[in-house]
Amino acid sequence: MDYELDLPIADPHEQRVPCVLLLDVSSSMIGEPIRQLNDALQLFKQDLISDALASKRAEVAVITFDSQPTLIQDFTRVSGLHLPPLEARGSTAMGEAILMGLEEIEIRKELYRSQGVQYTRPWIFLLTDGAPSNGSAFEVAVQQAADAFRQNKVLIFGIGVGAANMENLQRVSGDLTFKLNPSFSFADFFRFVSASLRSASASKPGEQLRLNPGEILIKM
Amino acid sequence: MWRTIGLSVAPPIKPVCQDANRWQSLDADTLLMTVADGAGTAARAKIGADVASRAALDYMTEHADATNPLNRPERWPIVLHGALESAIVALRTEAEKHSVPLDHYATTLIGVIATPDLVVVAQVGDGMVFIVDTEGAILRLTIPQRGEYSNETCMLTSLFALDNIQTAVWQEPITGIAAMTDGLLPITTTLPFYKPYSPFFTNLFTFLRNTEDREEAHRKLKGFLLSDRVQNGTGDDLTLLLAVL
Repeated sequence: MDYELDLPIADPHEQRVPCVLLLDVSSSMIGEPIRQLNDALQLFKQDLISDALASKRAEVAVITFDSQPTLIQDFTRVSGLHLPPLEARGSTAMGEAILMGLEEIEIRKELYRSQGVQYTRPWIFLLTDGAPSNGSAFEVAVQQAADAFRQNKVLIFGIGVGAANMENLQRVSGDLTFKLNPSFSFADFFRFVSASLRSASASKPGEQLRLNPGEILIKM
Repeated sequence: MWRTIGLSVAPPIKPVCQDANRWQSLDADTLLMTVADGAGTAARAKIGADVASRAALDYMTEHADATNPLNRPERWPIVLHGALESAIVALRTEAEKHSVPLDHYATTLIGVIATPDLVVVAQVGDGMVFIVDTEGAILRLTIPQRGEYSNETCMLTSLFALDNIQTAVWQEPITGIAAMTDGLLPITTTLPFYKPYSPFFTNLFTFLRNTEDREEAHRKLKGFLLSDRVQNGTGDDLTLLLAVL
């Protein structure tokens, strides 16, 4: 191939692939589960960093929830992802965390729009082994999640682990509710999430993404 | 007389290019161009882009011909709308022939009729058309039509395609014109307003003007489009259809 022609080009625009992780760190996660979750998150980060496109395009925010939701990591490219070891304690402020996730996404979209950058439809992955402890906040979250879904604002994947209350999850995630197959680990789940972010990062305009969790997740 | 060159290339790792470009000189002054970008997920996207770009060009050739008593430049926007409509009809015919849904042929489409002092464009989807004026300024005539999310654009096969035609008319002397599919936009425009990155276009037009041998120009442009620098910033099918006076 002939490379004689060398024209000046603009700094490439990169599409953004926003994703929020909502992680249950309530007291039921104490012990082995929280240790596994911490390990899985480190692998998740390594997996994304190793992908040239995902490391440029994927932007991840992390919200944990015990008795209250905490934004432990605002949207960042994976290289900037700072994940301190998570500790399990308290109750399960799931509804509050969902509301926080939806709000963070709208703030991020506003920034994208002001910069004119293109972005894919944001994803929320909600991972829980329990049930919401604050019923009224959860009801508001269910309502807002339904509105967001109808308005095409976001896709919320609800992933239940162990004794998670799947009926509750289904009210938030509808058809996108899954149970983590007991034969698979948190690490396997996060490998699926990073693979999904990698394929979204490589997607072209007009492409509909089909996530393929294989046997890792069981559809409810 | 226009000097014209058109290229559609796929990234080296991709088996087929689903873009198409065509052009036709009607007379010394009048140049017709079509550019189509078959949707990555559509099963017959490559055929869609081919059929649509051909049908539209055929329609334009017939209706913008100087010997056609109905041909007047003020009718060219109507001619281009007719060309886009004829492309839809051609895609529908193809879909019916093979008993598959129309959206298997999903594609964008741009039609251009250009003379040295009048350019008319009609576009559905997310490509762009640029001109260079007599003072060397690069101007965009259209902008990419996009939905909120980057993987959604308006397709010629969508139900409301004809309601979403973007039309542009430029009535000043020009010295060059470039039409492209969206693949090249990340490295040839700047955000947020898709402002043309002038150093690229200025050098590109100078190159074409100074390269008389068409094969040489084609070979060098292809090398440029497939270079790591361009591929790293794009990663999609790339189409560049250029004409200079």
